[in-house]
Amino acid sequence: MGNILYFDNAATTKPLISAIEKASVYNTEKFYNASALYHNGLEISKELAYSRQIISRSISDDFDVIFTSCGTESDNTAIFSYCKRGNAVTTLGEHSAVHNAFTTLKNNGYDARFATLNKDGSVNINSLLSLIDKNTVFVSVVHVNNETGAVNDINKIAKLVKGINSRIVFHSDGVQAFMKIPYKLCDEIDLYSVSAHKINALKGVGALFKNKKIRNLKPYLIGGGQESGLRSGTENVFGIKVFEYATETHLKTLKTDYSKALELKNEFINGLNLNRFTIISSETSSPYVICLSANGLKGEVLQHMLENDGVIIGTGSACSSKSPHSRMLKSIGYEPSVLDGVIRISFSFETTINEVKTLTTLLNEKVEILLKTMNL
Amino acid sequence: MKKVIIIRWGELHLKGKNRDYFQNLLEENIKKALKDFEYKFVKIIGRYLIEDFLDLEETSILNKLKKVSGIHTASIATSVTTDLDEITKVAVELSKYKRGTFKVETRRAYKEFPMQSTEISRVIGGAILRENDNLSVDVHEPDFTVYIDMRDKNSTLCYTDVIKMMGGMPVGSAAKGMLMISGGIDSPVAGYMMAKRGMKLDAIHFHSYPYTGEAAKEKVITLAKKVSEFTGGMNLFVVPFTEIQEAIHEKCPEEYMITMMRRFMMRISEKVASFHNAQAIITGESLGQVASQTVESINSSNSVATIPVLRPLIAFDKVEIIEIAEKIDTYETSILPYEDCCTVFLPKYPIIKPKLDKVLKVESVLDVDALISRAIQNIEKIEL
Repeated sequence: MGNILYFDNAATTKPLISAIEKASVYNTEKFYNASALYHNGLEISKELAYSRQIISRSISDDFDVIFTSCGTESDNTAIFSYCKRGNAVTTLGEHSAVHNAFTTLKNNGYDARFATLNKDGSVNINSLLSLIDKNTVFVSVVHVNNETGAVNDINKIAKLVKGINSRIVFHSDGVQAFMKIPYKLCDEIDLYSVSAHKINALKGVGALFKNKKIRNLKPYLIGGGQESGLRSGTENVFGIKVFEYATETHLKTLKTDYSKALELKNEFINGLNLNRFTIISSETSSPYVICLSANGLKGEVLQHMLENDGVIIGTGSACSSKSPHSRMLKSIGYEPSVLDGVIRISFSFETTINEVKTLTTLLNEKVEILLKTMNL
Repeated sequence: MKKVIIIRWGELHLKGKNRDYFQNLLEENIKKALKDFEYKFVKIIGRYLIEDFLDLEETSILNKLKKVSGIHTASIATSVTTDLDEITKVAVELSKYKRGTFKVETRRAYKEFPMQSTEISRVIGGAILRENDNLSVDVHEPDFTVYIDMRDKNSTLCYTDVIKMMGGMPVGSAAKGMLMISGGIDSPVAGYMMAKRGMKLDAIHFHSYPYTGEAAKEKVITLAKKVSEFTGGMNLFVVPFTEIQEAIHEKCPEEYMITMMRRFMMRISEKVASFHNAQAIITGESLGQVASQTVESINSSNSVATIPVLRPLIAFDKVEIIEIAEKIDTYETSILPYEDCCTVFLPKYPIIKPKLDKVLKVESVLDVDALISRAIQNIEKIEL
């Protein structure tokens, strides 16, 4: 296979070589343990503090940043820290890192509640609010849905939620939003999870943003007391520095990249033979993620046909691609014939219009071939 | 004093004049399984001993031996010079942290030893009792037994546990079979069952890219590899099946899809089997499990085969098959839900009891020989 066209950026992104090179010194001369009390260690600890600041200010007004190993760990830390009494509310549109944490709580007898979704995968706000009561301690709403790209206005939702019960801790999984769509976290948001490898940094690094107002977050990993005691384990300095550099790089062009992604999305949808495909994502969804279904066909087969021509697309969320149908889309009520055909196209800041044109041409072509073979 | 692994076989001694042949095979298979270890192989009457291995490799060696068919039980023993004090010391050590009831069982092959077996047992049992207040003797139904095996002047083996091993017959004692492997739960189990009865195996898989993906093929390779651990390696033949599936789909009535596929798979399996000296085909079919596993369906695919088609799971319930799959560690892989070669073209209402004359008529529109020869030309061989 020669040149690969990669349209599965919601699964992971290609790391920025410049960021890796710049950070490589943390694998060589600056290898010291940030917890050490000698000068070399203290230097590293200061550099981490700087990373924290850059990443924090990229989307918030001075939230604390706790480095973790991934988005999943950030989500789990938040959820298991607070969901111990009362009840907790989330949506049916969460990534497995939140969804399965909630189902685990529910299976253990905890009162975990799930709000229903709109057709595009965004949360039905009325459903969400109706589940909240005076005993609710925790609410988690995904910012950008990883399968459809549906954007939940978490600032608005957090305010509505706190309007009902101000003591609630509000968490959002921002893995697909961070450094993709322009926003700032409002003060009603308490916790926010992000992941480095979705923004052209490395796997193995994530962060949990913590509003300085909340005080009783409990660590999920206990040990040497790193990250202000909230996440023990020797810091992945190299990974964190790459994360910082990638954040910095994206921040500079966030708005222009966003408008460019909107153009890509339009190009994609306009180029597609809509007699053959159902677009599941809505107009207001993140332009970086487009969910669609090749009616009556199998998404995985289409994926393999494109792969043969060097084009990589996704079928639903990679983290859940081990189960045949998308749990989330099923909960919205899509028919099996639509669920079978689901594919996910996700762009990066590097994706070009020409690449998208190649993709739509190929998709249109392959779908006809497949329909013919299947006698449909 | 050193650690020794005792290997015992079961059925082999039943085999009369062929016993040497079976034993040589077993010996060869054991050596093959342990090729990555340093050890000394010792043959004694009725048993093999693995000696002089590194202590830290004990578990790894035992795990390898668990996959050698023909071994029925094994024990990890301590070997000491045949001196009553030495033996007693080891026996006491072996039972130091045990609780409940025990007995001592002595086997005295070294007849020059000046005490009788029962006497030896009594002396050692007494010493064990003195050292451990949590124990009492029960010679009929003890919680554990301390075995004392006096081989000769230099070596007595002491052990308490008899570990159940794979059983069966040594691989290679029953010709070679061609296992049709699908990626499901059943076929790896069928392969294991035949390996247990001494069959050497190759495997054949039908792959329908792009209807089935690379992940599905990798899954089959993983499964075949797990089965190959019981057969001392195997070849996996991956047959491109897309063209045949498309041809059947295009030209034959939908409900005959699976019937036709099975006939093609059987024919190709037999051809590949004959190229590679396999004398039987193995399938994971279990009666009535799915539409293609009725007697009528089996008849329609069986009728194109001229060599025996062995179906070791034919009368097994699914739960029984799953139990074995879990034991041989294939279950978790088998249940990974990638597109299966059947699911894309799966008819809504497959024919459950195909009649052979009708099947032949349906098939007559296809250029069977050409399709098969093209598929066979493009077979990929993977050595596991």
